[in-house]
Amino acid sequence: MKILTTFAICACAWGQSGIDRPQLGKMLDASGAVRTVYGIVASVTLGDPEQTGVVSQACSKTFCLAKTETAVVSASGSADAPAGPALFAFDGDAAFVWFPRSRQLAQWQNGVLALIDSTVDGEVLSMRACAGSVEFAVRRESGEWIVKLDGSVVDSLPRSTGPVMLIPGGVVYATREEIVIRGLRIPLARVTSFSQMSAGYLQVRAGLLDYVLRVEPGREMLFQLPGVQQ
Amino acid sequence: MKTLLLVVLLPLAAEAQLAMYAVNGATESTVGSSYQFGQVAINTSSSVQFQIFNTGNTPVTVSAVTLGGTGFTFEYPLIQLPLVIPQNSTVTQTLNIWVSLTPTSTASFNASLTITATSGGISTILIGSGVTAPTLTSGAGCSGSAPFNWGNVPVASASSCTFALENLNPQAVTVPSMVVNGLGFTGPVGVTTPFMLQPGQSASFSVTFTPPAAIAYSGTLLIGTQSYGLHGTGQQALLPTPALQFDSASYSSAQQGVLTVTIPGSSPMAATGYINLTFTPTTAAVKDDSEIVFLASGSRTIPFSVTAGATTALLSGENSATFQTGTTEGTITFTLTTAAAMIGNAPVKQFTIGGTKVMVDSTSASKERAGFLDITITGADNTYSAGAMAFAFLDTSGNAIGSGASADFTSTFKTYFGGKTAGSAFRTLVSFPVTGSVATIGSVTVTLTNAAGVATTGSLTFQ
Repeated sequence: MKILTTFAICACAWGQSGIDRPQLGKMLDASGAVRTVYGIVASVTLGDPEQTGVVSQACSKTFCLAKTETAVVSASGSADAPAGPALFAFDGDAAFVWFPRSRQLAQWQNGVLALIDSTVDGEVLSMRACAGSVEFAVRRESGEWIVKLDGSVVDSLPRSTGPVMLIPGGVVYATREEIVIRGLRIPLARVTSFSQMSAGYLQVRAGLLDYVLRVEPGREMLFQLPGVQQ
Repeated sequence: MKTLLLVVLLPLAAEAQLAMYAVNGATESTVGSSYQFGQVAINTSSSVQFQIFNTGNTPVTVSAVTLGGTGFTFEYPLIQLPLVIPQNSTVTQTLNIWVSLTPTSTASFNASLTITATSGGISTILIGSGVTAPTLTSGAGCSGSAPFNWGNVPVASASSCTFALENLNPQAVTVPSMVVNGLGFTGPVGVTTPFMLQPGQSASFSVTFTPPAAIAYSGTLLIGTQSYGLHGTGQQALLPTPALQFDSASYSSAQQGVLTVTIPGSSPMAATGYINLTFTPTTAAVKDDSEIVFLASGSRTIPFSVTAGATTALLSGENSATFQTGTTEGTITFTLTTAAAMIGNAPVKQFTIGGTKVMVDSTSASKERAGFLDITITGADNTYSAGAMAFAFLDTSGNAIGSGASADFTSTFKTYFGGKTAGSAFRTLVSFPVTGSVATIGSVTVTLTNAAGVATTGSLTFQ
């Protein structure tokens, strides 16, 4: 009876709170500019540059972080940071940031960047937040592994020579000729990097072209991004 | 005794004043008691220039020049005699005589060439033979008989014709020289002269015609004394009509297609140009859809280039080009433009993107916000006619809650789409205010109607 009453209210008072242009996330173009990707799968346009001089960037469902040569920047502020690119792992309204050049880990929260003691062996390929901490995908002579901050091994990864991206509950990696996600193999050669455009999409750079990989389970799909008109 | 000796020696000294040379191009060779014309094809002429020098210390008067024998003739009338050749004559002070051998049969010919002078003369025996000329036939690349014609050949393209030179004589024949003359003609390739052809033997070689411009050219192939005409015409190179090939026979909205451009056969030349893409919407609601582009450039034009001999064009430097079909019904047209002359018309390919039901890309249903049920739908309406929606709610046990709700958001969509040229993608949030507990509200199914039909989201579970 209560449900029926509730629904009766809905039927009289529902409303469409608006229509807007859908966004898949934000991408980093080859010139170091961050742009919004508008549209739906396989039919997208790029927005104007929103930030330039960016060397790394990633977005979660709620916010984005960009790494310039010397700072981490978000809509809520910026903080000085070690030089060079960065890897990001979002954790709610916070994020872990790895600086490969200095091999330093930091946590970003409310516009503040705090360094965290860490000793991670091997080349850090990707990170993901996990239960308030962070897990790393690392490449070592012995292979590729997922390890915790304390160094303990969580899992092994298939051997690959290309980039690796940890995603919730899984991993995306590239071989010489394809991208592998949850056992699905998508042909694409010359993949050089993954970055997180939003919660559901990765930017994939292959050669001089950029692609989008939808990572939603069961709806995995790769499509190309438009180039930037010169 | 001494006087006698002088008498004997004087005539000899006088005879030795004249010297005869045969001139072959820039080369002079001393002529002795005989001179070989060699083999000469019957009914053709072999001509030799003889120069008579005075090497003595006193002038010599030439009173007569005679040619006794068959087959040999003076090629040019002799100058008026007597002629005084000064002592120690230079090349401009010589007596020049041109003699031709024109055999009329396969026989040996000889004649005596005698220069009579006041203080002694000089003579030599001219020897030659008539032979049947080797038979020249052409193979592929030009016409079958002389004059040999290459026909129309693209400018700057090389076209070779193969020939066979066969000796049908019962005796061996020497081929003394083979020379190709004429702008655009080169060769021969495959033989080195002089060479001998035994009876029945043949030699193959080729001559190449490479016209520098779009005009007619003539040349000659000289085989010994035999001359053969060579003809060909330069033709402006034509690009075979490129074929626009796609990875699908048809496309619909929100797809990415792949275009490749192939050259039937192969391209005879290098060429460049552009592939252009245009879009004409079917609906009057919008004038364009900027999502419809070549992805490599993010624009509707990409350059193409073809190298000579290539069968595939490069598109923006790649073997193929990916494009988006956008989210608007209409017609996408691909055209190729190039400054190169082309066989036939420039290729054009059109694809009709038909109107489709609302394309639902992603959805969510949430009851996390207190007092509201929030339903988010992301999709596209390539007909620009969406608006009617219906909502069917189920409880957590799968039972229908009431008879559902329907609404018409046409005006809202129309406002949203109005004036847009970036496609029909949309993200809409529909919120239902609720009171009381929402714990038992389980799911909702949304149907969206446009001019092409009814689409459904499927069951969306409230989170």
